[in-house]
Amino acid sequence: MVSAQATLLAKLLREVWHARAQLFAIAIVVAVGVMVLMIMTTAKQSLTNAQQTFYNEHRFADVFLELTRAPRNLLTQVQEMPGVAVAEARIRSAARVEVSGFADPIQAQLVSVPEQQTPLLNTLHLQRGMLPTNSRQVVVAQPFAEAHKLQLHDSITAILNGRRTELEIVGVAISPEYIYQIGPADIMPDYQRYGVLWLREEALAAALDMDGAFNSLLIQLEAQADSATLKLRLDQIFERFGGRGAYTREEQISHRFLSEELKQLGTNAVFLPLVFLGTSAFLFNIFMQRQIHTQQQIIAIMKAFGYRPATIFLHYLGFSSLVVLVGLILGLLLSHWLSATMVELYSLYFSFTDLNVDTNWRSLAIAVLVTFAAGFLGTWRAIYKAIRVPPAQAMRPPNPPNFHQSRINHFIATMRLNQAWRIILRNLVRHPLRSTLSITGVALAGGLLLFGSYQFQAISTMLDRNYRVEQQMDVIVHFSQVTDAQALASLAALPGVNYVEGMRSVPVRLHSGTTVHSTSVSAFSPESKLRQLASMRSLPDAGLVLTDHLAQQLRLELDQQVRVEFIGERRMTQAIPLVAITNEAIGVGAYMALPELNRILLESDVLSGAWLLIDATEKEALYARLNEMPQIAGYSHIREAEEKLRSYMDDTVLTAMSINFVLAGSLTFAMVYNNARIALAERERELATLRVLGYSYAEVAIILFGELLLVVLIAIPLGWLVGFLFAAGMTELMSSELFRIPFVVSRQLFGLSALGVLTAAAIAVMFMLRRLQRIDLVAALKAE
Amino acid sequence: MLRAEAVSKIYHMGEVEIHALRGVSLELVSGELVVLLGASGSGKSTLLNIMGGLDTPTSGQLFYGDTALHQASDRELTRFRRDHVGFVFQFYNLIPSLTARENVAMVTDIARNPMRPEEALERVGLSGRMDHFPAQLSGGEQQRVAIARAVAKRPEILLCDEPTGALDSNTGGLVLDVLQQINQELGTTTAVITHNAIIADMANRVIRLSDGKISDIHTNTSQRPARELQW
Repeated sequence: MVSAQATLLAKLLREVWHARAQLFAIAIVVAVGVMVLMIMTTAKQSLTNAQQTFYNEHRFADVFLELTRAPRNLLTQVQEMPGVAVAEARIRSAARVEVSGFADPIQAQLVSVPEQQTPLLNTLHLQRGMLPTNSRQVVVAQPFAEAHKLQLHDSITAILNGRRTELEIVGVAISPEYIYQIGPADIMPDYQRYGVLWLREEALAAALDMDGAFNSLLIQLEAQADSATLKLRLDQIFERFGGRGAYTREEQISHRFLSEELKQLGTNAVFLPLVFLGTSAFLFNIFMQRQIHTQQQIIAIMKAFGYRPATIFLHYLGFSSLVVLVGLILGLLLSHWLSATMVELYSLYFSFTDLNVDTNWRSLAIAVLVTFAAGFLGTWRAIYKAIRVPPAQAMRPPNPPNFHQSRINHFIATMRLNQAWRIILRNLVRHPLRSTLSITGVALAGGLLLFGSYQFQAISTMLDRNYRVEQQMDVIVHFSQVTDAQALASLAALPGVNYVEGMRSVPVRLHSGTTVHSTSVSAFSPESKLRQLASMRSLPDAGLVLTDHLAQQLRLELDQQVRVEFIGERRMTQAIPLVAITNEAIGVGAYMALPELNRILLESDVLSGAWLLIDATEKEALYARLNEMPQIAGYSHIREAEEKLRSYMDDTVLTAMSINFVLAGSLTFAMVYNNARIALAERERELATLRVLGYSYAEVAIILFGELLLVVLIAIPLGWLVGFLFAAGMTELMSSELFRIPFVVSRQLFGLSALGVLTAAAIAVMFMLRRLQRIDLVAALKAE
Repeated sequence: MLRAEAVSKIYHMGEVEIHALRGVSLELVSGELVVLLGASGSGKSTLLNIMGGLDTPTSGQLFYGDTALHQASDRELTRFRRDHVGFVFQFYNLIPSLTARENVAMVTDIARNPMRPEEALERVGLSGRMDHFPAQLSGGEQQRVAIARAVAKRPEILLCDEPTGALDSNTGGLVLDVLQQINQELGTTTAVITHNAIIADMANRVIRLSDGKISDIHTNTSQRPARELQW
């Protein structure tokens, strides 16, 4: 028996070697499936672990509240509230920062650390140095330090409330609160132009006139605390202190970005591997069916010799097992290498204390199980019938494939086609399941291509709209305090400034029934040349305009009255009609005409900031002058932010698109190549006959590849549909307060998807053409 | 019409050389029915393949009229088969996805002066089964479709490789009868390969091959009708 096993093994290995190209194509599909599964789950596991560790070890708060100013003694009251485990008060403020050698404006978030002790919540993870011991010392966020190559004892300048303060860097740290660091108006992190700085409380208190007061509250909840009730109570207590509404981790910006990313990884970890492993199961099935069909007589002989069906089944299972093994190993090797790269990539955007590559062993077990099951199923279906056929019957030459007079065949007969296309069509409809699955597989690949390219095009469209149409200013300037319109004249006189427009932004709470939303009203002139609202010609002279996403959230219809609670310097509540809805892609906001806002707030012609058009060549001189002006709290150059974003996009797009092409291409290639191999094997004799009858290579090739061409041609529009639906689904799924990706599918995307599929198919056909030319006419005809 | 001069064919099977034909000279005369008789391995199939432009000789010359086929390119051989030769094989080699009529049309579609597929099928007595697929036909019927397919283009030469090899005696006789009729009615030069000596009785000439050489050529004074042959 041992030698019989060895003989069967030799047979298996030789036959695997003989079909190596075809089996390798299947192994690649398995490998891609395993690779994607492992990369996604490993990244997810690694990020989740790092997040949990960071949150626990550095006591990330559960509830947050920003306010204008409240006395410190209120903290005791908060600490005694039910459900509160730890409460901590601190001071937070936006500020401008200057780093020597870097001319562009830098926005920073300044956060206080308590005196004499480390913070209780959101504790810092110091990577270098120490916490500040006096008010001239500062700890800077690690990505910011890295972006500017800042060292300990370097100095930076913070401009707070118009006062310039020289600070010495004594530490570099990260915080669970700023794992993802993004400026308030940014779409992507820009570590050079946005940073987080930690100062001693006394330093901030002095600069912001916050002695004995705080403007930011952190709370850690007891287990099973009711955060909703707590939030409500906090809002009641802090209303008169300018509370902006308590919120939980789910609304905390860094946490939210990270959760979104984890959610996305989770979806990808299911969807993509499913496509690839499903395809591999199908490919196994058609390969094994063919293999077993050609070996029917061999199986009969083995049975005649007394081999048990189980032994025969195991022998044939060896094919798929070997391929699965190769695919699995290949996929694991690739994922091992790429997971590290992927996790490294994540560490560029998320700052963790401890981001390790944590392989998700459970998903490895799933990968092994699923791939072997795919191989097993494919083989089982194919061999079941063959094993049941009595040996004597199997040893007879096979009958011609059973084509018979059916309605569809009759229909094909009545069509005005030449015989070649009749052959093609009849073969396609003879194996409806195989044809359907082939079409589905190629369509999925095409859909993947369209969907992958869509994401980038949509983001690019979003940037175009935001930066080219809606926001046409070069520089945005924020004043330290509300200023009268004369400030514009002094801005216009600065070097390089070509045009100036004033604007005003006021923090508000919008009420609709029981729903409250904190945002700010942006007010500007209805004749503004620099600011357009999406889908609107101009800003109405009276009434409120809301972003569609916000209007939906507040369940507000046009012409309804909105209760607007102004929570800036002047506090008042006013009902204002909703007169228009804009579908801006980035952020959610409320808009009003500037004169109308000032009228409601009972103020004269005042501004909180300005928009500038500048001459880029005089940018440095302008920055130098702006930095000297105490009345300017901050400014940002949005043209530069746009350029940076676009260059980042261009880099990423190329890589991601190539990966996408490889993934979808390998799927199409494997599908088409396998189908072509099977078609050639099944019809070698038929094709040889045609050659003998005087058909040329080209004519015979059309018959062989026409079927594939049809599969691909049917699959391409289906792929468009699949990709279109994916894209629509993702647009819906990704739509959030931060941004809504516009649903724009251009003709190029359809073209790209079709091109990708056709290219992969063409490569597969080229491989097959060589085989077709090698058909031995005489041998093929003699064969039974 | 088809002339072979000192044709040899050597196959290389791995490291072994097989001399399938050793200097065979032979001429097919227009309109005759020749039976090539020989045991398996005698070289008769190789000779037929070379005469039909499926293979090229290792040495020697082959002419169709004035055209030298031994020097022809693959494209020229395809053209030669397409325009002048009809083939009938032992295992019929019909296209399973096409009906009888469509199988014949496969050839008439590309021929220069074909008969209608229906006419070809009538000639082989299958006018009632034109819309049947190969899987719905008996072996004898499939072979008759194959003959209809071969003659539908009105070839000058009809080459048949063991046309009754897979059939029983009665059905085989029927198939040979069709071949004989076509030879007589259309005047198609016909060569039939067989190892069955009884079939030789229906031929004008019988050429015996053994060990890659012609061992005997015999002219029948009278031909027996194919349907009388029994084996």
